[in-house]
Amino acid sequence: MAALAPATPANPSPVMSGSAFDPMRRRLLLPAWLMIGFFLVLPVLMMLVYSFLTKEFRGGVIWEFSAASYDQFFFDRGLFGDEPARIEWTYITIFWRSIVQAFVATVICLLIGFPTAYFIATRPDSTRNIWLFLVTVPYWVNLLIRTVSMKFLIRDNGPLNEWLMMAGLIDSPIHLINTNIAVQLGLFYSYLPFMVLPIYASVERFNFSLAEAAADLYASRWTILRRVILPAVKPGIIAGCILVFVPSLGAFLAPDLLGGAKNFMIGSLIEEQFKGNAGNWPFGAACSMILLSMVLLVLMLYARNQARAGVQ
Amino acid sequence: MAQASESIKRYPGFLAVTLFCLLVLYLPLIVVMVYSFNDSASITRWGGFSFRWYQEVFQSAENAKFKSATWNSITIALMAAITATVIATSAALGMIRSGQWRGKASSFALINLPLMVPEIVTAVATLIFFSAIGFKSGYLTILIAHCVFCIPFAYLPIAARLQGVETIYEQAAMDLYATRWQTFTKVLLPLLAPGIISGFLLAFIISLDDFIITNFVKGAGVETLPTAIFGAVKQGIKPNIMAISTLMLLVSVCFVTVSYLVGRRGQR
Amino acid sequence: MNQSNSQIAIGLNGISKKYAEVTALHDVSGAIYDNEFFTLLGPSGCGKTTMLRIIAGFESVTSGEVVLYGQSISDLPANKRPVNTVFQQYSLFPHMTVAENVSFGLQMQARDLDFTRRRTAQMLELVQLDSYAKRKPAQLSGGQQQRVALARALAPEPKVLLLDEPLSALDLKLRQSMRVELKQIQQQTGITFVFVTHDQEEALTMSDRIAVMSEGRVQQTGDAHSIYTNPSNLFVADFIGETNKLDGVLVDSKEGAAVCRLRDGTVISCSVNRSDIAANTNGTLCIRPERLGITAVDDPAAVFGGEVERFHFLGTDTQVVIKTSASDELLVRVQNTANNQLGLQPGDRVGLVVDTASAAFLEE
Repeated sequence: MAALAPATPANPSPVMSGSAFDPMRRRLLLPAWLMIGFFLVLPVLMMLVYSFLTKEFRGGVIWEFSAASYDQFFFDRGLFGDEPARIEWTYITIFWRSIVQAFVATVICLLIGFPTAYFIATRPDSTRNIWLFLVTVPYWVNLLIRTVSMKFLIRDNGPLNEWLMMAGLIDSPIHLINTNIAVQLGLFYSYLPFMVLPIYASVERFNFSLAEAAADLYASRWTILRRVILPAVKPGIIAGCILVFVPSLGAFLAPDLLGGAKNFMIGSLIEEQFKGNAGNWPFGAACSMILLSMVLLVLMLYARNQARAGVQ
Repeated sequence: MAQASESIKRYPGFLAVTLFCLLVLYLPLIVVMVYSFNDSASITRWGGFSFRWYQEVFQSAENAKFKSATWNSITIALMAAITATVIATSAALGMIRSGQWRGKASSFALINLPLMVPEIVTAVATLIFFSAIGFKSGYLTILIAHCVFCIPFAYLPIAARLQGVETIYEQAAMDLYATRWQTFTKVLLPLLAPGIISGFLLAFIISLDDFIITNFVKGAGVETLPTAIFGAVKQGIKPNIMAISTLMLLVSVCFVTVSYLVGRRGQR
Repeated sequence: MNQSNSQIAIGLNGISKKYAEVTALHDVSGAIYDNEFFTLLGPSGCGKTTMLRIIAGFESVTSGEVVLYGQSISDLPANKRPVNTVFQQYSLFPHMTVAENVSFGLQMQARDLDFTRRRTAQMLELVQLDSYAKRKPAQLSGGQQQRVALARALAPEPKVLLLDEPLSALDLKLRQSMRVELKQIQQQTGITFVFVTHDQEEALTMSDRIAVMSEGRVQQTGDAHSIYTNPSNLFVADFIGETNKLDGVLVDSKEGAAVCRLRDGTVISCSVNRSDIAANTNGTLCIRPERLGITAVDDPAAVFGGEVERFHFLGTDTQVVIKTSASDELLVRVQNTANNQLGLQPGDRVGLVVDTASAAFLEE
């Protein structure tokens, strides 16, 4: 959502910042700084500390420094820890699967979201808001309920299969639940509005006289899309991709409810360290740190890209 | 001429994709709504129209758990959204109504940090934090965590609205002897109202929606509606879950409609 | 205006305003008198709006002091200064009715309710909008909105009213009628008006006195007539109205009656802006186009001879462009009266006469 709002433009000239509230900005910002600083920044730092502690078997930690969590993530030293270190593929595979899933979900959201956003943005003023409203309503519906609804719909003996069989299109139920496709469907369903809204915003700002100029210069419809419209709305597309990719990477509900054990993603791995039987807080903290680093890396690349685009 | 420019904008197939998109978005919700009225206890066969699952939601003793979860969800969402809206309004004034200063970009990033950190990471960090300082998990920890992640959701619409309100109104008010507080209550607050209302509604819905963070910090015994539903779903999707889901769905639709109407009035 | 007997309403003592990289005002001093319609006139970026905002309290000074009726107000915030502003545009509170807008200042001052009600009605009557009290600003035309803004600023009985280009958003006809109305209201209320504009016609028609500003400095202060006829420097001569600028050398100067020689050797009697300019000083001779007259080429009164280049028909006047040996393009304005048919063609040779005391020599 952050990137939906354009980066706050600074007040244009120092002369005009003559607001009564400028002198007290520190006092105005303090509550937000304190709240987020104390209950989010500090906890994340604490999590970093925890990832270097020793695990306590019933959950929690022993205050003793240890890099065991990161070691466990990357290396396999055998059951008793005395064999030569080999690369441990279990967790890397889970992370890699999550990245692939998030990437595919992003691509699907883009393929479906771009035409949708474009279509809505080019509607006349009278109907545009209604289309936009229709696309955003599901976002306001509880994510858990949406995911559960999807699970209900696509179950082996759920309504979808029943209708298809009744219509004679298939003979036996399509097995969707607990597959990659179900996870994809869930991620798509969860985050599609994040793709549509920023693209919609940039298409709406697009000056269509440029498209007319291109048409005037003999460009075909698809050439105009490729050479004129797409470059202009690229910032919206990139913002949309990040808004889908980042939450998909750490998603928990869709993989957990629709994917089952075989399609384990990062979210479930982390959750298991704190809730399940395999409880290992330092390891869970380490996995969270690795996930956070990946997300911050993506966001930093994006910010750098934005800054460079701003300079041009 | 208008027609010519319309046809340049139009791409074949885009309407079909949009309709497909809406179908995928709405089909599961509609199906659940329809099946919540299914009389049959076997949830896949249609056994006639009935309100029995709704009755069960409100009457059955087994569903007392859901009642307290609903109460927790609503009170937490209400308090978190109010707190976040107050903090966000103050922060928006501090950000949008100040010139350039060192650290402004960092301040913007800090306010929006809850949007950038993946939910599961926030959940883990908050759990560790409360456990490390020895704060007992429960209602209060949920409330604090919700306040934090609601701040940016309340901030964005309020800040957007404030950017559209020119400083000249504040100057005019000050010129006419208003104090800073009077300038805020009599001039800025009415002008910001649409943004503040959307910010509040968004924060409220986001709090109501949250599962992951709540699930981590709730401790034993305290449930919100999403954690209660999640727990129940683990044992299979029963019709009463669908009835509850339908009710929540209607609440959400009411909220988004109000927010949409407020936003439209604000544009005028 | 009998300024010497009047009280000083606003005293500006050495006001400077510096921003990070630009200096908006350089050590500006001056006085605005009680009950005066005073105009700050200048091109955009000359510092006139900054000056107004400093008086209103929206900007702080880098150095210097603002004195209001004998008291320094430099340290008072805007909401403690008995000074009100009419802003350029869109400053009416959109969520309040016209009457609520007008009474806002009185309410903030916590004046008693009865007085507030009466005063609001009185102000709306003054700007002829009494029947619009319950409307919202968005339901009014631009001219009506600006009149409400005026009523709102006048309602708390400010000691000085500041007007920041209040007419610039209106169309020409409305602007012209608002000028008359503003002037009347100033005379009726007896409040000191400080008016900022870049429109010289506005300044000339309404003001008791005008300060012409450029690049953060006051170039000249005086009434409309003296600024137009006796500009103290080239900027003022150029900015106010049209003027013909001819390079010349001062030959002789005695008690205001001076003689100047142009580059083609023509000698012409002129006024000087300072009596102590030495002979042989290089400078510019300024002659307003309407002070030049066209006559027969062999008229002995003619000062120049020249050839008609082209005509510009301007409605009430015709502008004739004449090429002379002293200047390639000399502008002459001739009124289009019924008995004043020019009967000239491009290429005709004509003589030019200059009204006495209409040429002003300004040193470089």
